[in-house]
Amino acid sequence: MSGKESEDQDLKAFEAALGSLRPRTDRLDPSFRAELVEEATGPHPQPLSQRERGETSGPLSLWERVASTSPLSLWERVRVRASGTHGKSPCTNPSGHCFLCIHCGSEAAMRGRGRSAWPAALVATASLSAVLLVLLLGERASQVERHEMVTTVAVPNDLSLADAVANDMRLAVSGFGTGNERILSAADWQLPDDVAPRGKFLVSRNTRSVKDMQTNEAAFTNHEFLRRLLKNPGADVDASDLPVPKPSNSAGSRS
Amino acid sequence: MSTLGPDAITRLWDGHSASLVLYAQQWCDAPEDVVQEAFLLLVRQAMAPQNPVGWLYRVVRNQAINASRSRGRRSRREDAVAAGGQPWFEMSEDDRLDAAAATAALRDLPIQEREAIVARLWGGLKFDEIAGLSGTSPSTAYRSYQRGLSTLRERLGWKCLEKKAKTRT
Repeated sequence: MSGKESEDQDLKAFEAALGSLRPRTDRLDPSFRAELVEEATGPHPQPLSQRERGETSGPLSLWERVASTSPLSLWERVRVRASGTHGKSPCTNPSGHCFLCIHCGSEAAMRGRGRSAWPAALVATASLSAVLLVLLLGERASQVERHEMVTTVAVPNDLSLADAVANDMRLAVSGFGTGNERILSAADWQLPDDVAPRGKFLVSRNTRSVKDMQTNEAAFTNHEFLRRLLKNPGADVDASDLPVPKPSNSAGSRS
Repeated sequence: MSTLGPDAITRLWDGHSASLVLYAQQWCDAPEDVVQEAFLLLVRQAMAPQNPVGWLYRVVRNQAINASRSRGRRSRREDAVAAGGQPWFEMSEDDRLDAAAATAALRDLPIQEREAIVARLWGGLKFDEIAGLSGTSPSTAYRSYQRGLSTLRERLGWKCLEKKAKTRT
């Protein structure tokens, strides 16, 4: 026999020896058993029949039909006596009463606490959302305030990328012929030439709106020039060797 | 489903009242009152529960925990003194384990292990029923039972007793 088997057998033997101990019975009141039997033989609360409820005439309502067809349904009614305790003196327990399910015996108060977890979580989530919303609105308001304080400046003709970065410039493009304007992102400069944005470039300082941008047609109407600027930060780029774009009437100046 | 008759109530009382007292004793020091109250509640039910034994254990557990809370607020010290020396089992010469020692060892176990052992050994409940009472899984109830049993065996020196008995024979 292996050690594990002998260990199990030993545990089973101990289990049997422990189980052979008999719980004390002398603490129970011997007269209570007779009282219990007497209580069990007495009248029991029964669900009220239709006749007992005094509804012997007339058609049954929908709820009464449901209750009459399902005796264990939620609509089950139990006869309630005036005393409520079958002739015993009313309960005066100062700590309150324990409500138990008549089917499973579980404590009703505990079930109630279990269900209340959802509203509590909902309230907490709503409160958190409200706080976040207030923070967001505050941040947005401060941004708008900062934006309104920014003054748009005239852009020099020979602006370099270093200057643009130092002066917190933003670049935008106004499409030739279409009139569409949008602020350029760094991703725009990674695009190949054939799909890179083309048009009249606008530059402005510290703003998110194309409408606020000052244009400089001489220096920023060429896409290749801007690519060179952004790929060689700080380098001097001579705009004279770049092809001059065709003048377009649709790309109006904002300066 | 109908109410339980006197015979059924008598059978339940004779078969489970002592075990229920022992079960309630794991939480409170007036287990007899709790058990009697549970039986009265059972008798007064308009509809008999599907599993009266399980129902009784659940009600006794809830009532015992409630009683221990309210009593604990009043006087913890008096309770501790009163609960000190009373053994939980009947003393008998035939038993292979000492009732007082078993009571002391059982009392020192964590409540989860104690509850599982009492409900299983003396209540005859299945592990899924124990799990339903204690709000755990059946495997957790089984592990608590096994762990508590092993601890009890060590504390009561069971191996030594068995070896002594073998050497005598």
